[in-house]
Amino acid sequence: MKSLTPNAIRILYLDDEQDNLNAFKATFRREFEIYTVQSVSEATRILQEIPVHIIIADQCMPYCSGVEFLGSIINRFPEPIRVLITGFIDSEVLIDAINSGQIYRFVRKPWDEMELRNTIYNAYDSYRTTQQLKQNVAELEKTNNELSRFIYSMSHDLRSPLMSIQGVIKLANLEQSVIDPNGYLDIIGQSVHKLDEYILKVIQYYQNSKAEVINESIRFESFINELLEEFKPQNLSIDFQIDIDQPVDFIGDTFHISVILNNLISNAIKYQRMDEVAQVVNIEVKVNAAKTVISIADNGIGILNEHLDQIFKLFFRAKNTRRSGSGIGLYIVKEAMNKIGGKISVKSAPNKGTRFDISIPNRRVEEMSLCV
Amino acid sequence: MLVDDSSIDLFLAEKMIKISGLSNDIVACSSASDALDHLKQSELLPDLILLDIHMPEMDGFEFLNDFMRFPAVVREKINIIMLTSSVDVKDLARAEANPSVIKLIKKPLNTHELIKVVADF
Repeated sequence: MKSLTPNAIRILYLDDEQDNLNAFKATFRREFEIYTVQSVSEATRILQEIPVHIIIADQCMPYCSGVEFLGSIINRFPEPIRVLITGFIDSEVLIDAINSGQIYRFVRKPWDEMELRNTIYNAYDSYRTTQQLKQNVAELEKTNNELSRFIYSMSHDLRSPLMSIQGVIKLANLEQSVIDPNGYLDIIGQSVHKLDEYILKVIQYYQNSKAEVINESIRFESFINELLEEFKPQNLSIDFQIDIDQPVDFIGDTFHISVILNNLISNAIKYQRMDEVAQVVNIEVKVNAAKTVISIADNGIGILNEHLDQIFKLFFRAKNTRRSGSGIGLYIVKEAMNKIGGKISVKSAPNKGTRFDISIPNRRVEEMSLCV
Repeated sequence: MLVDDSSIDLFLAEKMIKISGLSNDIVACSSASDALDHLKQSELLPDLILLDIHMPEMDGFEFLNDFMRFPAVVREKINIIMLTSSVDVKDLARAEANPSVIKLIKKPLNTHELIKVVADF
């Protein structure tokens, strides 16, 4: 077998008439790398061995029409551009073949040399464009993957020295070994904590975007109480009011739902008013066969009306808060919601409080209907 | 016994455990292989190992694999607690699931938490 010429346009021409094959080769052999075959089996053998760019097939052949042949190889050899060549054809067949994507162009026999040449060059352009696009998509996917892996591992590497700093501050306080009348250690500690919160949000963002949806049974009573264990000890001044009504089983994705609730509860805690004597975080859960409806409400500083439609945007920070934050939390909530097909809405009044209402479909319905 | 590639974290843990009164007899190992060598050679086995997860060369999980090959009589005497700053879901799940690990606690080390875990066992 002759070796492939780089940059040459490789064409496979299938026609049962040797005269046509010879004529084609005589006309174009100086321009293109041409493989001529008389049968479908020969054509398939060439396609297995040689990455051709363009397949030209005659429509009128004894055992298999050109349209049938081109349609039959589309799955095994999707890359070459397919051209049909023929003297007579039923226009219905041709229209179907072109519309179903089996054929790129149709060339009439006897062919006009200029027209056929143009068709070949156009087909090759189309081949190149498609290949380029595929390559670009693959590269983008790779870059995207690397980027998020990079962010993830960097976030972890940043965390360990931060935890060492927290450890040193703890030890200094324990030993009383640093004379610190102005509370500088405390300020360092707060800054490190802020930085760590930010890093944790970035990691959570990555985990949320990578995690697949896994549906399992959720008992909201214990689920919510476990989540609150993380918050209660540091927020003794807050009255957590929990009302859970779950008469039926709920099937849903534990990871994404906990990400959502974690962010909303931590916001409800963070954006309390300092001067409020009775700080309240109210969580209501109502489960039915179709969905669970959860509301998380606080009597904190609230959200300005003009900010309400922006809070779910990445890196959005409200200006009236005087709280540290990354602008990532609610974005993650929205992304997680999209993943599990949930809905979220918010009502808020400045200095009165904020209430998030979420609705998450109960996957139990689908599982049951699958069994029927 | 403390196993951690960070010399600062080793220093911190040693100091804090001494101050907390939990122990005064502490061996600090700056790598998992050091720790394994020590366990093989020493007459005195530690009651407790505080094991970091992410370490170069041999990480905490690889240490645990090797540790599983120790005779049962040795393993039964030693309690292992993993201590990490990782928040990787897979890391945390693997640590919790490992039969040799009694608990995973997060950095920075909180001696009250440590004492409570030890007391529960």
